[in-house]
Amino acid sequence: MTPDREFQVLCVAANLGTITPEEFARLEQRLATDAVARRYYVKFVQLQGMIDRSPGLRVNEPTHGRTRKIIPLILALAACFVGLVGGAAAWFAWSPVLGMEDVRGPVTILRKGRSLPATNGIALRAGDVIRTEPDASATVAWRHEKTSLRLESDTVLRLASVADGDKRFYLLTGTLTASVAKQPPGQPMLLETRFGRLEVIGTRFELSSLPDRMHVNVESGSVILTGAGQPEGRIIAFCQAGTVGPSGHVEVKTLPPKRTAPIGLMAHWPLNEGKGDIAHDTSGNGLDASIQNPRWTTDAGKPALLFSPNLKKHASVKSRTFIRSPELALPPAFTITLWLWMNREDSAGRLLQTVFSNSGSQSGLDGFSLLVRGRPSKPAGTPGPDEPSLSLRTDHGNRNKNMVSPPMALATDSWRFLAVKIDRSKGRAEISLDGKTVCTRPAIGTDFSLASPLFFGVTPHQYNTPLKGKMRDIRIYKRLLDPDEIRQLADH
Amino acid sequence: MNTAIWRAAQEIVQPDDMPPESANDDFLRQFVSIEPRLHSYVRSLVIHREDTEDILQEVAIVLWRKHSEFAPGSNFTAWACRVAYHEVLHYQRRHERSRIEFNEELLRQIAADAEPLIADYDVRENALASCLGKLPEDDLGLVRQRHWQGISGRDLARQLGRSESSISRALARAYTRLLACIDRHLKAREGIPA
Repeated sequence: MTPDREFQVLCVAANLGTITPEEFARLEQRLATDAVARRYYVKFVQLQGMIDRSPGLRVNEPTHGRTRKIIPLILALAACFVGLVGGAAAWFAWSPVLGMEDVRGPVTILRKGRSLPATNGIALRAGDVIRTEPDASATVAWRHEKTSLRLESDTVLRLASVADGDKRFYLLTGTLTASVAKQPPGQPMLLETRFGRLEVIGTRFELSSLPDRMHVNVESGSVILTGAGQPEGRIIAFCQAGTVGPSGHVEVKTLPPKRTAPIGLMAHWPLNEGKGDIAHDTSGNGLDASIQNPRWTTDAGKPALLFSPNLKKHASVKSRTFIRSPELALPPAFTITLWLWMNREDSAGRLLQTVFSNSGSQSGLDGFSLLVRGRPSKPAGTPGPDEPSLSLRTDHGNRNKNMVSPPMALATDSWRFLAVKIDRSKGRAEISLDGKTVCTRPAIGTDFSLASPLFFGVTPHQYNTPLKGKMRDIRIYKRLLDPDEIRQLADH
Repeated sequence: MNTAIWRAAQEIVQPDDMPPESANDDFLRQFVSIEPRLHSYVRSLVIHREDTEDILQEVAIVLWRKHSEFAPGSNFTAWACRVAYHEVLHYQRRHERSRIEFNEELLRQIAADAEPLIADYDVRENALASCLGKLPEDDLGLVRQRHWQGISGRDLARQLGRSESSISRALARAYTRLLACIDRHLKAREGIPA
C-alpha cells in the first residue's frame, strides 16, 4: 500500500530540508501511528541514499513504442549516430579520474565487500580501500593532473572522495609518498589518520600513519597539519617534519637540508670513495654497485670516478671502466641525475660514448641508453657547433627511437649536471643540463625494457661504446623530478 | 564529516585498543562489505542527510574498536546496526536542542523497520538501475538534477519556472514510481504475483 500524496510530499520536504516545524510535527505523528506510512518513509529515505550513492548508474534512455513506429530508417540511423556520440560523451564524462599504476607485488582493492587484485591501469572509485602487502607497493595516480600517491609496503588507504575539489583519503596504516599538483583555491586535498588531518594545496611530502602517531616529512611547498580535536593546525613547510600523537599536539622540527630524506630516492652513489671497487649507495636502500677497473680522481676539484682514460680504440673489454648496479626494479617513470665531465680531446669525431644503459641481452637490444655523440668533424675555423650532444635511445627488438639534444649542448672539460627524466608509459623523456631543459618531446618508445642492472660507462651489450670522462654523484629517483628540484640539485 | 572518524578515534581509541593487524584486515573486509547497507540504515534514522556521513564514521570507529567483541560467525550487519542505532541516539543527544530530530521512541520504531530492509539492499540497488530507465523523461530529468547535479528544491523551482510545492509533488511522484517498481522487482524475484 502507498500512503496518500500529502504524506509523500512531507517525506520529500523532509529530504529537501525545507520541512517546517509544523510539517515535521505532522510527519512525526503519522510515523508514530501509521505502520504503513513508516515503512514507506524508511523505503523512501533509503531510496534517496541509494540514488545519491550511485552516481555512476547508467540509465538506459526509454524508448517509446510510438516513436519507433513513426521514425523512418534514416532518423533511426541518425539516432544511432547521436547515441554513439552521446555514449562517447558520456564515457568521457564518467570515465574514471584515477587509477592504479606501477603495482609491485600483491596489492588488493576492497570494493563493496569484494577483494580485487590490483593491476596496472585498474580504475579506482570513492569507497575503495587499497592494501599493499609487505614488500609490495603501488601508485594511485590521477589521469588529468600531476597528482599521485605512492603507497609503500604494508599500507592501507581508503579513498573517501576522489572528486576534483573534494579529494579526501584516510591513511589507516603505513606510509605514502605524495606528489600533489596545485589544488583549486579553498579546496585542499585532505589526508587523515586517526591522529590528525593534513591539508594539501600542492606539494611533495611523505606521510606515515603509525600506531602511536602520524608523521609528515615535507620536501617542497607546505601543508597544514591539524591534530585530532584541535581547532587550528600548524604549517609544516619545506625541510620540516611534523608529528602528532594521541594528545593532538603538533610538534614541528626543522631539519638541516642534508638530513631531509629525499622523497622517492631509489639509489644514490656519490662516487667519493676514492678507493676500492664498490660504489656505496647512501640512499639507505642498500643498493651498492660494483665497479670494474676503478680509477679514482680528484683532479677536477671533486672526488669522482675516472672512466677509461687513454683507452685505445681496440683495447680489450677488460680494460674498460664501468659501474654495474644491482637489480633496481625501476618504475615506469623515473629520473636519473649525475655530474659528468667529458674530455674535449676524447669527444672529437662521431664517436659514441655511453653515460648509462640497460639495453643489451642475448636476444638483442631492449632498454634505454643515454649516449654522448661526439662533435661533428669540420674544418678548423669553420663556424658552427663543435661540442658534443646527448642522445637518449630506446630499443625494443627492431624498433628504436632516438631523442637527440641540440649540438653544443654538452660543454667539455668542465663539470655539467645532467638530469634525464623517463616516462615510459607516456613515451616521453626530458634531458636537462645544468638545470635547464635542453630536450623534451614524446619521442621515446613505450615498450622498452626497464630491466636492470643498469650500467654506467658502457652498454651491457658487449660493454660497448665506453665513456671517456669523469662521473660523480649519481642518483636515481623513482619519480619524475620537477624543474625546481633539478635546479636545486644543479646548484649544489 | 572529514574529521569525525579520527576525532572520534582520538576520544575513544587508545593505541592499546587498536586491533592487531590481521583483525584489522578482517574488520576492513567486513566493514567495506556492509558499508552501503549501513549507510542506508543510518540515513533512515536521521532527518538531516548531511549527518549521515558523520555518524557513519563514528560508527566505523566504534566497530573498529570493538571488533574483538564481535563473535565470528554471527551476523556482522546486525551487530553493526545495533552499534549504529546507539551512535545515532548519542549524536542526536548532542544536538537535540538546536535541531528537529525524531524522538527516541519513534527512532526505535523506524530502526526496527529499517534493519530488515537493508538485508535485500543489493537486490533493490540492482532493481533501481532498471527502474530509473523506466521513469518518464520529465521525472528522470528531475531526479538527475536533484541527485546527480545536487540542485536544491528551491533552485530547481527557479530554473524550471515552477513553484517549490510543484517540484516537491513531482519528486514525490517520481520516488513513489521508483519504489513501486522496485517492489515489483522484489516480488517477481520471490515469485509473488504483482
